[in-house]
Amino acid sequence: MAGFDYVEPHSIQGVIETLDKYGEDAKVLGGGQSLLVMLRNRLVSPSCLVSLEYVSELAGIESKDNGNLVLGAMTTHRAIEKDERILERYQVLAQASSKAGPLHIRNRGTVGGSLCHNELGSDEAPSLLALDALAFVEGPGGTRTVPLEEFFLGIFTSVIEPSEVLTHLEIPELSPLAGSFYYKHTVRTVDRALVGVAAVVILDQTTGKCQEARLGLGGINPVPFRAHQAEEMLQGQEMEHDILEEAGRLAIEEAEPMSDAFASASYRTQVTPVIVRRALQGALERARAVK
Amino acid sequence: MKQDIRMVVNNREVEVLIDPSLTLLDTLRDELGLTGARRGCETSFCGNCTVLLDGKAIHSCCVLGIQARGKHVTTIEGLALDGTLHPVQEAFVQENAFQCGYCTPAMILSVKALLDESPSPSDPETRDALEGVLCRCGTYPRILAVVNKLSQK
Repeated sequence: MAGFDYVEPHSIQGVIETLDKYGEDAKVLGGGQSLLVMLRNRLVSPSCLVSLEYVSELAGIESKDNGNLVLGAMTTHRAIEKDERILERYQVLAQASSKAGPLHIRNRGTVGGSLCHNELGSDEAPSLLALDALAFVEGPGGTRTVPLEEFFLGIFTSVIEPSEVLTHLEIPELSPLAGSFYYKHTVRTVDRALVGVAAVVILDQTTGKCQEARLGLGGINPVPFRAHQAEEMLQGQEMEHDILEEAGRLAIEEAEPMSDAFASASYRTQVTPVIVRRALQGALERARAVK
Repeated sequence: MKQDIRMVVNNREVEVLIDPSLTLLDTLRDELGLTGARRGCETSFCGNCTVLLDGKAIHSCCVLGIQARGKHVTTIEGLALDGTLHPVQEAFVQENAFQCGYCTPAMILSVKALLDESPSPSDPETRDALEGVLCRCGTYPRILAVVNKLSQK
């Protein structure tokens, strides 16, 4: 790959200062599982890489006093999938992280990198959307928060400006009554999702009907999105097969499937309702199992 | 500009003077003469470049040499002790779990990392640990047998 300057700041401030100095010519280096491949293929040629490895504020998973969960941007997929709190309360996210590539990649790749890179079919994005995650972005002007639904602009594009860095995500406390499930549809397991659906379901404990449903979809549109129409329809419903199928139909109606080398828009259109139904089914079973 | 990097490779402290753009794979092969880590796709897909970084299996084509500063790297050359094969290597021999041998260092290291973390892994766990290394000769069933053999009941 072409040469570059290499900087290892020890603070977020140091990262921002370096990015500011180089302008658009610098790229942050997280796990490097996407960036280094791009450098290898000469798809990008930054004059400077700013490593985030030694910025301790970006690492780690924390539970806040108010019950929210904080994910540092440099948290690896592997760390997320093994975290006890996430396995217990945010299963959709643990599942998604566990499918974000082979183990060798998950040992290095980070959630922050995956979100900022926004490759089509990334797994954690739909799950974090369904969990109403909030992104914290820091730059020369200070910190701003971005609801994850507003974070993605297009393939490989997010709202992050050249001198900014995603520092962490905050996930609101999820009701202990919630069941959640991530269903990844691919042809080969090592691929990105052709259709990836994250479902969160909360049932009314008396009636067993749906109190709240959330659906995050990835791999279909250029950006991951929430299927709000399907979610609204599900509220108050008996969660039977026909209703889940209807949710699938509504979800694809609000989608704008794209074609790429892996699948056509037509394929995605046909498959999405099925995956939506399966994800909802998985979440429903978990919600029903809650005691 | 080249930087002086110190790391521990196969339990020995080493020092290399490398450009930041040099991958760990190239650092190991070209600077340290450790050619057990192979070149395959060099773009994160085939896994032939697998080494252990602080005990975890990673693709060394997607880690910069400079990122290994202060860390422990284990290559296939570091497994045998005074001429005695590591138990994982021994099991590979006994199960005849290699054919052309190109992916074998990567597979052995991936199995070692798996068993170090999970001495009695489930079948899905094992398959997950091997997914990152592609074997064109089809040795996977024999590698599963190796893990089965070494798995502590």
